[in-house]
Amino acid sequence: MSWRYSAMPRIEVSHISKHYGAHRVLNDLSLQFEDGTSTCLLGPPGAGKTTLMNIVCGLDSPDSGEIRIDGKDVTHLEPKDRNIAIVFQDFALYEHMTARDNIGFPLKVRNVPKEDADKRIDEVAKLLKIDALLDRKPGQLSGGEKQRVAIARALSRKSPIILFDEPLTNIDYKIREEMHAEFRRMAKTLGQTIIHTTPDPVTAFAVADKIALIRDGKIEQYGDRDEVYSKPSNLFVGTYFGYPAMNIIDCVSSVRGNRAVLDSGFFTADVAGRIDSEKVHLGVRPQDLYLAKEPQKEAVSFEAQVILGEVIGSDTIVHLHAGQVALKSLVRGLYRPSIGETTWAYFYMQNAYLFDSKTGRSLGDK
Amino acid sequence: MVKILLENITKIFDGKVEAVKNFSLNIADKQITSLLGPSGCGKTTLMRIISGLETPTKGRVYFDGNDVTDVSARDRNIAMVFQFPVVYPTMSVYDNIAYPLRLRKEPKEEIDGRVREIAKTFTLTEVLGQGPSSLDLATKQKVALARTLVRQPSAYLLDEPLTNLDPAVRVEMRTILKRFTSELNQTMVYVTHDQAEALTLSDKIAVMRSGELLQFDTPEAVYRDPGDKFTGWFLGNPGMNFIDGTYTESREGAFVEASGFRYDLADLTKQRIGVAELTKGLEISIGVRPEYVEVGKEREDKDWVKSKCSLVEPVGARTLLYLEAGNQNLTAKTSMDVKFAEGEPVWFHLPTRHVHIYDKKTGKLIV
Repeated sequence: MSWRYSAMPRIEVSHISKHYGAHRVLNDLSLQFEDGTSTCLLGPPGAGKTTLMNIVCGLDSPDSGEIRIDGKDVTHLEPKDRNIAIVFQDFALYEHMTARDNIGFPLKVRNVPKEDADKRIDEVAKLLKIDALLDRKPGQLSGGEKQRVAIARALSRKSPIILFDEPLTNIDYKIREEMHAEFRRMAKTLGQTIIHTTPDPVTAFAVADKIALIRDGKIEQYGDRDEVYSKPSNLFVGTYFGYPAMNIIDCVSSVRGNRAVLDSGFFTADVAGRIDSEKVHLGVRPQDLYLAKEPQKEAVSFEAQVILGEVIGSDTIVHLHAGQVALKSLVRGLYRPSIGETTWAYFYMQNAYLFDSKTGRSLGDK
Repeated sequence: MVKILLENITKIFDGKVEAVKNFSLNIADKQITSLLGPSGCGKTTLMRIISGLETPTKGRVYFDGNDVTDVSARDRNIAMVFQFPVVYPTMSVYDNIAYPLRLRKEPKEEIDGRVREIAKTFTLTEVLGQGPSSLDLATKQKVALARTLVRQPSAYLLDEPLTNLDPAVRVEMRTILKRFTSELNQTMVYVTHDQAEALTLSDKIAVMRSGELLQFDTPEAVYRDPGDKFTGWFLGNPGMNFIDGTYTESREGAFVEASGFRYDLADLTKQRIGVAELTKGLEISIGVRPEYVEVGKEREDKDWVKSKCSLVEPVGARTLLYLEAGNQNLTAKTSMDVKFAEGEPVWFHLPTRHVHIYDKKTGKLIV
């Protein structure tokens, strides 16, 4: 690429609140998007992700709070004066224009000379591997190709900030797989400040360095991707950020000397130290719950019934019932157990997470 | 339940669009058989031919050995379920399910027994008295499936009935469908573009592309030994890696030569016979699934190859490493504990028993 961004802007949103009628969408939300970094806003539908994006780029304004780009207050600036590019979920391509004209549109609007514009279009088209498709109209492109054109259009104007609002939601899974790697390559090559939104933890994992978990208009946790994954601060973060989702088993805790004993009804587990909560949620990620023919030493083992082996490509999620609890175990490769079969399942306490059952807050490091 | 035989089926639309090409398939009873392929591969056309909604341009359809090619859809006694649930909005859930039995004038008591039994299977007992408008999408689809399954037809054809449901319900429905076919000896043909759906549900999978049958086998066989490059890529996430090169033999053994990359095939060609097709100078692709690529920071044996890690992509519970060796790219799928940095050298190894050799041009499996 003949250009790479050098000084990238930092975006700070402080104390943003937003209501639609009586409905509060954002609730005193503060967050910093670091310069030259990909941050992902991850949360369920209705969490406020898109509203926050619209406020950052100026398509919507907050009831209170401010947005600063590199320290400069832009809260009341028009979208066009913020120099932010945005890619939407539904691509928003002009159907009557070729891919080339779609990509060049923002340049035409800004009166960029044709020669320069053509050069830039060719560059971004090459980066996104659509250089052979430039003469086609959107109707002749597949979903993945359309999305690439939409991204190329956002890149062509060289905005130092780019927002992706669920750009992979409407795309086939095989293409999504390719696009995940594409987003990372692009971020590495160009180095802009990037914000993604998605409800999908796998996409969040793939595209971002920093993750902000958002729920009910509030940030639940923000940090380095791996940090948030390994040290979820509460039950919501633990169960939402991860695929397949973390297993949660309700346990009663009791004190035995200087140790605590957790009882789930179908196993008991010993924990060093005190647990102040009487009832806890014990979390085990599916890849840490193993299957075996017999109970395992040093591990917490219990018997379970197989509900279904759900093959998800190169891994299988084995759905289990133990006690009244539905659990998942992630097994490598293709595994097709018979329905109703009994098996032993086990995990190690050092891989388990504990959350207070009332507040949902994490009870310290695993 | 019937066995379905498709014999040399060709379907041409408007005299030019060849949707299905000389397609033959033997669909067993008491099993779930999936037709799997990307959109436009002809799977839905084929399903319509089985049901009698469409007549093949060439070829015959047999049910239990009887030629039904010219038998109307109504007389084939086939039940179909589609992606979007079809329910009668003015009837209660009970009446929806009972409808096909009433049409056949079955005795009232018999109908009642069957409706209640199937409602139990689909956990619909509590909503039997309700109208469909109060139900969510998943429950509506359960009603549509229950109504289809209650009439005990010759075979069921299902066209992606679970695609629009949320994941938790999908698991429940798959469990029900699997139980249903194995316990009640049903013939079920399942049409899908979703490899996960096909691998989870089916006893056998027919992989289709551009109207042609590529491979027909058990999910395990199709996954482990894809008969061609497309099948290798289409199944698995991510799909199979392919390294292109030229097949060479010398006193030292057999190799694939690619620019900046040479891979020893001696073990492979020695182990497996029938390599007559492997001639010197043949352009080949070696295929290996990402989860079988072994990686390490050190060279662990002489057949390990050095590469550069260009990208690290965590995917939930696993991590993908994008590796570059010469001008070849390949992906390794590792557990999350394996830590590599982008730009770092990575040694990798392709375990012989997981390596396949394909003809680069035809895409067909050689060994």
